[in-house]
Amino acid sequence: MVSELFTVYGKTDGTNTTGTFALSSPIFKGTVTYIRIPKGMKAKIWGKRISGEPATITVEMTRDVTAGTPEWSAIHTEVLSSAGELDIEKRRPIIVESRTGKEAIRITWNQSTAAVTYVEFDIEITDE
Amino acid sequence: MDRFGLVEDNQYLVVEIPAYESFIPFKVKYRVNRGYERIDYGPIPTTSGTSYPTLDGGTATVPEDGVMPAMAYMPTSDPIVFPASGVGLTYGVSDTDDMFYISEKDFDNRVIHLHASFSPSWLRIVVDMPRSTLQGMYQKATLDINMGMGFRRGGIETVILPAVKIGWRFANDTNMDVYTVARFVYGEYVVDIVNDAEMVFNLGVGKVKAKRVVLPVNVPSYDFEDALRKTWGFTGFKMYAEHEKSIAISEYNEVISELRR
Repeated sequence: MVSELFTVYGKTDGTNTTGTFALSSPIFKGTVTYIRIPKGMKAKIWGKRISGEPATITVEMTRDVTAGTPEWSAIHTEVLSSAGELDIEKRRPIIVESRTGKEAIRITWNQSTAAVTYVEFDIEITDE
Repeated sequence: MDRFGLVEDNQYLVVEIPAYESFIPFKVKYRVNRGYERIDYGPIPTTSGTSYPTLDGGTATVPEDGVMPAMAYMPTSDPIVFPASGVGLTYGVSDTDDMFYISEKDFDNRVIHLHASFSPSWLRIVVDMPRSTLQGMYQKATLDINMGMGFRRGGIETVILPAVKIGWRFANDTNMDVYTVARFVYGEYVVDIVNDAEMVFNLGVGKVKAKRVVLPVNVPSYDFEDALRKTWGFTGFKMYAEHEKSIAISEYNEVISELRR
């Protein structure tokens, strides 16, 4: 079994009411705005922690991140309805399987008023 | 086998060599490093500034030592090895640039049984044996790490024979420049080649219990053959099926009489 569990961190920019998180992690250098899933493997999102100001946080996926304009579709949403913290850990993860090696996931935000919100997502890349 | 997946003393290790349709049966006399099997090597030794081709046809530069760039792969001509300096060894190894290399002049009776694991575990891994010689095969096609098959992920088990230089290659089919880690569990075995034809046959056909490891050697090469010949004088015992016992025994007796040790 191949499995790598890691946490990504992101923060809204505080000036735009919508956007895509630039994610950082101890496992990779710099930031990425999406995570491409190796062919034949799956991305599983096990845990989500959202804190700060109110925001709607959405996980999106695309089947072809190499397209000129990838088509992203929402697959999961969490709402932090008031300032504070949401800590969600599910026994059943959100699963995205890579059939072509071009599938990717990203995390976006939507706020009624631009403010700073933090996200931490626990993601596993696995072949099971 | 023990809890590390290593062969216990006085047990058998059978190393299969597909390119030669052969095998070498070893009796493990003892493990030199018993109790010290684990190596937390640290980052894979990629070097900042090195350029690698990418799986989508471009190039990528290693941004920091130990990082495997997004979508990059190491071509056959540009493998890595694990320098002894990565674990603080500066002398006493056959090759300080490649800590797993065993010179037949230093030890012609030792092999290293290696379980290697890498993080992130999705990295594609290929071992070229000998170094810089493409070994992936499917029917008559050669396979490389930038194709859709012919690689492993997560880790690899192999046996390193004296005088055989190996190369490690990796590919990262994600968009992240990932920090890497290599871990090894190894057994440095003092071995004898089994020199009883009946036992060789029984080990070859699997009638006697042994740990079997298939080497990533699918293409015959001068370097590999030369390494085995100068160490032991042969490239292994030919594989025979159970019903070919009489031919096998006769041939094995001949081979055993010509073995270097």
